Amino acid sequence: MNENDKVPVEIPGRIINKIKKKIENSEFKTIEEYVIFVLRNSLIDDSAKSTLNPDEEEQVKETLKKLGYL
Amino acid sequence: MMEKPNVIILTVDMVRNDMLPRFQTFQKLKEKGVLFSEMVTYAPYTIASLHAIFTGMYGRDTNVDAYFKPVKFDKENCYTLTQYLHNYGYYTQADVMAELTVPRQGFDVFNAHDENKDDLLERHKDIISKAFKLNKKFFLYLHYSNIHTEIVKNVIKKYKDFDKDYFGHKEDNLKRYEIFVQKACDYLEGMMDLMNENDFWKDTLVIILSDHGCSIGEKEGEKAYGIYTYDYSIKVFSFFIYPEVLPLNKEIKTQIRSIDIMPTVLDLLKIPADNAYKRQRGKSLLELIDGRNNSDRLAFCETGGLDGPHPSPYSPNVKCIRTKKWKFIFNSTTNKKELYDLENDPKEENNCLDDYPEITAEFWKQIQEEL
Repeated sequence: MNENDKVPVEIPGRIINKIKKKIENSEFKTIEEYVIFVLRNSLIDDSAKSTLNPDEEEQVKETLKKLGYL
Repeated sequence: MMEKPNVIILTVDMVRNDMLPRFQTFQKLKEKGVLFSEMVTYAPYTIASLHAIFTGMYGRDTNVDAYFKPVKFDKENCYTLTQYLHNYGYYTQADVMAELTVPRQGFDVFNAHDENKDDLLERHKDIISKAFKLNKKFFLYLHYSNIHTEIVKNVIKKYKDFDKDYFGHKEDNLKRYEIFVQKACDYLEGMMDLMNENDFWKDTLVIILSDHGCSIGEKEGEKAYGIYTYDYSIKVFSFFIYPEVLPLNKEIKTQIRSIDIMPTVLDLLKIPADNAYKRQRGKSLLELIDGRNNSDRLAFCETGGLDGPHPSPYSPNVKCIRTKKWKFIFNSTTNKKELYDLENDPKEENNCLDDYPEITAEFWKQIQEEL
């Protein structure tokens, strides 16, 4: 699929109603914007932290300690 | 054909762009060469900023787009400036503030100083003097880290992120910061004296740059740097000094990016990019120096605080696009979008997103390519 393509997704009305309430007076102008936001952050969740193995995490922490941050 | 020059890159960590007119040292440096006074860094913290400078690429290319990512540097596909110079027979040496702040590939000697103990002026003068005694061309990367040392001690460790004692005293914060910048200028003066006394400018390209700026309390929530992308932390500068080739006393106010530094060095040294590796996103600045082009360059910048919020510090959560007139910022943690008219609102105080829907839509389209 082309990265710029868009596809419809079916979401139960019960959840749509909750989203509508959630985005009232928020940064989100549309339901679609909120759904994309949640999905994007969820996908970052999976990809970000899990890519570092314990040795790599320790190496970074050593550097950050030396820089005075930790 | 002229022989290739020695190359020295000297980073003065954390000097804000608006310090340029406040210190005579910067005027003296400008008299020696070319000042790019409107440079935008890729990232407002050292680790990602320097990886971008050493590759001419953004974090999405190098994988180094967050505090916890230098271990993920794509060394198989990103060829660093050091590697190019090493390949051309240069002796290469770095003196950095810590491991992982700079890609290590290509360095013959790679040392980290102790920012709390070492006298950086004496240490770096010694490195330069010894390099000039070598019977071969050299590349030195030297990092002046003492503003960082003082900001960590006197700001980061001392105040909380929304501390009224800090954000309510901007003038005091500025005075304290300027004392640290003055020390950096003393260091630069000492380095210039060494270069002048020994005629070291000859056959040598010297680049002096700031890798990112620093808050003095402008925006609550960011007492120093690395959390947001406002101008106090992303607007920096660079000096290119090479008296035999480049003009003297020239200031270029065209907007450039920190990723343009490496392609410029390669262009000056007539070293072609190796197509077997990822393409540099930066572009040589020589066309701006010789006046062939004076177009501002679109800058992309991203960051994520060391203490979060999620997904930082493993991935960036704040991204921005900057032209000379506009800045568009998107925070993926809060979904907040901001648009600033930098010409009329240089302090970025009035989010005018709703006043310019077409401009916002265009920037939103561009920044989504980065998400």
